[in-house]
Amino acid sequence: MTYGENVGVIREQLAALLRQHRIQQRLGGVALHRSEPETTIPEREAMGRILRCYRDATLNWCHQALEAVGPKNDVRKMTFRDRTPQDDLRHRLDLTLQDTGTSGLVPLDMLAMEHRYDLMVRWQSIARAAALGEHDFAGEVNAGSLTPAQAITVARDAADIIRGLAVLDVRYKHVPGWTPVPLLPQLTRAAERVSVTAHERVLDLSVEDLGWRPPATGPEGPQAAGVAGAVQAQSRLLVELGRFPTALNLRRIIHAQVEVSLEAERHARKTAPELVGGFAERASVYRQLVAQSRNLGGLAGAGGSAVAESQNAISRLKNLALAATTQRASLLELHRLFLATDARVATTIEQGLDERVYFVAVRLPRMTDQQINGIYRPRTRYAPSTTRLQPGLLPLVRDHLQPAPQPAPQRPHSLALRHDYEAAIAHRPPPRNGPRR
Amino acid sequence: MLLAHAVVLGEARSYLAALADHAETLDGALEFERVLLQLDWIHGGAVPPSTPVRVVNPAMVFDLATAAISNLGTHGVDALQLEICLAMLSAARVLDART
Repeated sequence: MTYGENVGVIREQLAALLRQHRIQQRLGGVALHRSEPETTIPEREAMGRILRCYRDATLNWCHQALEAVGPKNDVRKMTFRDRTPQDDLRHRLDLTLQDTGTSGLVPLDMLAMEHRYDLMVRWQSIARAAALGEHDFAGEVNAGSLTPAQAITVARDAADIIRGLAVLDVRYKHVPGWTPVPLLPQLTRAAERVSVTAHERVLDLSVEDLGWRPPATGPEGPQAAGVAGAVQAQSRLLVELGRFPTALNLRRIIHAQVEVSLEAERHARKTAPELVGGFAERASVYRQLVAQSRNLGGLAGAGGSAVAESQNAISRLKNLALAATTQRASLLELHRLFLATDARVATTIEQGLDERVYFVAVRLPRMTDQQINGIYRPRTRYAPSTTRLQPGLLPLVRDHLQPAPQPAPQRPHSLALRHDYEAAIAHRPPPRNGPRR
Repeated sequence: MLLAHAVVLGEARSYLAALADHAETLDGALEFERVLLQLDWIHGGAVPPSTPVRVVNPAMVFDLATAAISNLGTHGVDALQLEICLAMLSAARVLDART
């Protein structure tokens, strides 16, 4: 699950809870439509304690979110004037969680138990999403990986959830077993300050696509027959390219892509003729890339496994006799993998040149001091690459390898959830005796 | 790497690059590039840059490349690896001439 899915569940369920009143009736207490209560006070007290655990788990998620996206400073040593609204909220939440006296972690049996009442089920969904969402902050949703707008979006989400919990805390105060949130007024004011501050800026909802993902692994198992074997090798190459290759290994991978494109073109002539032109063009682009990257240097990185997989792809295609129609699906899959490989190679080159992992040799405008065989040679040295120094490499990568930029998705469902949540916080129950005159 | 070694290696790389750029066929060019990669791998990726070489007579450039690779043996490069490079270079030339 992504960050957007987890926070979406929390918002959706909290919005539904914010529209519910007469809490004890929803836990089986005395109601107008029931002459006898369905649950006893000890039973409602047990449910109240469970609800408190779910609430503390949600507060803990908010705390982890603010810790993950905020600056790494000790807010306890800062005065009120020095703290930003986000720092102040983190500080208030620290004090609140200390006063609750709990770790904020829900036992696994509470996340798995079955509940009779809809209110309990909704709170359990919130606690489950909070438990799952903890992994997002160790993955991609943290200050090191987010843009400032994305970090503000996450802080705003945490502040909104705290505001919702504050409203519910007042409503649940008569539920047996429920203990109020300590220091609630200060916490609420700090959360409102963050929401108001963040509301004035443009939120970046692309953070909802981020989160924790399991590490990618290539297809397991023995070598498949036919072109599928080359597809296996190319898939594994794509996975191995997740690790940064050295400059020499990158050149070897680029060299191998020329050959694998030529072999794929050879096989596609009979079974998938519409792919022939694309494979031939890819071979031509990579051939130019081989020439442009001859003087690319850089010792940092790995990539040995990626080179081995690229050679596997070549050998499996070379050893294969030209077959009839059975290879078409594999060739289409190979084409798709080629596009992904091109994007990954382009990203690797751009990142390597940008972060000064890769260097290019440049000729300096002067001669060496020493004669070699009676000739003074021009000085050369390795320098970080810029377009001026290496005019052919980056344009080739950007024009031919990088995929076309996609427009940012609109996310209407996400915006609708946020508007609905704001409306739920401001929701007031209708008066019992009808509208006022 | 001493300067004299770097000079010889730079020459070898330059001649191999020139052979690859002026090969008759794509397969031949790829094989010459493979020899260049093999030479770079022997030296652990830390190699001097190549310079463009004007090719008038490809056979002469081939002989110069062969001589430069052979001379690397006097700078402490493993003889077996150099023989492998020379064998690959000959095979590349045969492949380029055949196709």
